[in-house]
Amino acid sequence: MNAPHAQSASENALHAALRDRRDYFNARFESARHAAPRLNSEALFDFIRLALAPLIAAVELQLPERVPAVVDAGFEVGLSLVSVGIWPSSPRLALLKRAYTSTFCALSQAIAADPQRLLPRLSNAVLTPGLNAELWLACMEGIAGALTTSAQVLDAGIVCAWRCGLAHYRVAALTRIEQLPGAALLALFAPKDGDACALKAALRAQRWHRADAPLQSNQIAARIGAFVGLGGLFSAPPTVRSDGADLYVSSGVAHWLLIADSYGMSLHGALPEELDAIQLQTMLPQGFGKVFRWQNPRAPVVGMAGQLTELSRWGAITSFACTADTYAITHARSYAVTLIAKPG
Amino acid sequence: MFKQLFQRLSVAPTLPKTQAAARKFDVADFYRGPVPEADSAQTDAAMALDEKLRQAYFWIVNTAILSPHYDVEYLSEPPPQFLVGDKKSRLTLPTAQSYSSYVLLPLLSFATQRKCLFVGGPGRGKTASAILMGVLAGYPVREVKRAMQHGHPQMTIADLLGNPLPADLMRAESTQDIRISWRRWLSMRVKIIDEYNRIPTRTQSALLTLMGDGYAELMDQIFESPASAWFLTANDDQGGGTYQVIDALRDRIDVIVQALPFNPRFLDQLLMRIEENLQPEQAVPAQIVFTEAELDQMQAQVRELAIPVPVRRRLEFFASQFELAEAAGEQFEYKGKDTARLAGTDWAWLTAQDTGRDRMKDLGCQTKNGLSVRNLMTLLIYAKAMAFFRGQSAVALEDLRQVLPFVLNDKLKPDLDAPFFAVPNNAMYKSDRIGWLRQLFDASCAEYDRLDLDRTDPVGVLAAQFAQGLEGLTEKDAARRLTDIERLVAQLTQGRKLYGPLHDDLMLLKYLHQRYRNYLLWVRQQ
Repeated sequence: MNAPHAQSASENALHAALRDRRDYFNARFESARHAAPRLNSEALFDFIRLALAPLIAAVELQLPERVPAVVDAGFEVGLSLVSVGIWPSSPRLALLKRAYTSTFCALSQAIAADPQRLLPRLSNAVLTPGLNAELWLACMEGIAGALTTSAQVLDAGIVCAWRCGLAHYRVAALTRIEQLPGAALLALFAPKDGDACALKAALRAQRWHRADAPLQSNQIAARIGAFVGLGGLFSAPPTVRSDGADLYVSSGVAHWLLIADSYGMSLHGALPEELDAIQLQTMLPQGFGKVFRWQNPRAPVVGMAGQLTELSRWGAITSFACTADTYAITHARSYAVTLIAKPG
Repeated sequence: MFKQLFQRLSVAPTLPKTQAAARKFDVADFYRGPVPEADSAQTDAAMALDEKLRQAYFWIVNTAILSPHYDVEYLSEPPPQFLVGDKKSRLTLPTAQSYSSYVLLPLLSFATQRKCLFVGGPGRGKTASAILMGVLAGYPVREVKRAMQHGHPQMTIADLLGNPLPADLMRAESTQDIRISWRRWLSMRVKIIDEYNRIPTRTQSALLTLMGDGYAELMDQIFESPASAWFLTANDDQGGGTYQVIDALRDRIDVIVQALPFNPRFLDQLLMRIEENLQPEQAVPAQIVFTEAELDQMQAQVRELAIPVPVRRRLEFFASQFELAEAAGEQFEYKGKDTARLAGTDWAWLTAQDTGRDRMKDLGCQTKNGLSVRNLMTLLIYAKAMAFFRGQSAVALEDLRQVLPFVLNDKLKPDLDAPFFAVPNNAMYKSDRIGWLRQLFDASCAEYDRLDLDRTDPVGVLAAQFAQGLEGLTEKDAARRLTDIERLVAQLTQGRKLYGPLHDDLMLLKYLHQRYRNYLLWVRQQ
């Protein structure tokens, strides 16, 4: 394997690192091709030119002595990505390119210190299903200046993942916000009062708290799920039930555990036997309307995005469930589950 | 350093099991994906050791060893079988995860820190496999190669163990003052002796001390060697080496695995290795390298595995088959093949004395010796190791059945003049010791089933009664148990031929009788 052609002066460090250990990298390529015959040298060169080179340029500015280590780690990541075809044919290729050319460059100081740990992990993070990767990269980039160690970067990655839609990481993220610098936290959540301590307390206390856009407790917090033909998971209007701690959604013969909060939601496959012991509640409990001071309990109205909404607009209520902080309601004519923030 | 592709390990569990649904959200999953991490073994939660061992196994068979054979066959349902050729050779397609003995047995030896001998013709990968085991223990390839001892006719004890420091030799007033420069390999957890049957007999004795007792001695100085896995190689283990291997040394070897022939259908892989200069031992993934602490922990976990009583009973029954030689001694205790061997009795004469017994049916007639305590202990350890490797919580009969031939190979000597081997269909067992031992165990289990010993075992009942202890036993009860024993002995001996299991049952009853008799005497004196 010959080294990729030089593109600019900024690639000198990369070329030097590749040239210095040419035999080793060639051997790594050959042994990798043994296990993955589809490994394509052109695709690997492409990765080195388009992804690794900008990162190396950034590392060279910060910690030039760490360039060889980052090249080693980056080369191995490239081998992996190319051997499984993610580079260059994944739908997330553009996001990977952005990660390497922008976000990882912003994190270059931490990456240079621990490239073997950070580069594969951060690359995998970009490819995580369900993650709004574009937003995640933007979040990480926005707080990169406040992150100096690899541990901080990894903690921030989890917090950002929660912030960007992976609701099931909420508990882990709430633990990790303690480790983040205050500046990073404020940049990430943008609380109106600029108080990091108050922000942490509020996030912990209320699942539906949004620092940038506070939610009333009688508002619809989210409407989640969609018809399978429109990119959702539900083949029939869903029903919802709860064991008191968790919400479970059923649609047709499929079942899911539903985890949702103010920053996103995720559905995780559940077994029928997990729902067996939980009774389906098909009516709103008595007095439900009083909690919200609804004018007409037969046609409950709750606020949504500043508008008053009649729940009946989606058809008759087919199921109702509640947990410590959420009411969930499904309707006969809707493929979405309505989640209402419970009064605190 | 990231090493992932040639070093790729199975991402899926190597032995998938149906588990109860337990949903756990592990944040580490966020950073897992198609890009593996080189030091994940250190940074992530420790992989279970049995899973790690299986990962090591599958990496070796998928990447390092060409043309693996699946001769350790496990079945989950009746397998497809095909008869082929004039001899109607049976080809079985296993229905459960099956293994290659050539990789598995050395790995089990590695896990239990025992001694494994690779045999087979030159160039079949014996030494390469041994080197892989050294690398799995965390030693750099270069160090493993340097530490490997190559047997040769001029090998001295000093070559093997070390040299006295020259300065001390000049100054010392006693041997105690002479320090020894011990060879580095003595302190390693994996020890490799290449072509051990080329080592001179005197040097073999020094090796025996090291292998058997775990220490080396030179000029009154002692070096205590840590618990180690030993891997020895021999082109020919039947006396074809430069020197005859002393029996005691052979006996210290726990398992023997044979390098099976290369399947030319895998020639393309061989070609690729040549063209690309691939050396598997240079690319062992960090995730399957074991630390010393893990080796110790793995040994402990293997020992902890239970052997259920029904499995143990079948092994007892099997082991009972072989030692008895009715004509070898007058007293019951001396009716053993070892008695005849120690006396130098002519084997042909001894077997000619066997009259009345069915020499085809009696499994003991197929061997020239019985099983030693060491053999049985080794068998138990390897059965546990096999169950550990398979992720089981207890040893299954099949685990025992699969390791038995490799442990008893070279330990249980076949009597090739026995009627069993004269049957045309059994002639192949003269050369196939593994197959012979496996059929021997199968035949023993069939007999065990025929006698319905799982449900009908009066001797076992009396032994279990005794195992509950003698404390508080009244004189009357002790006397009653003595009567029970005598009645059972009378019943067992009445008009029956003496076979190995019966001999051992009678010996056990004699033991119980003696213990109750002594107890009774003591009780009466109180």
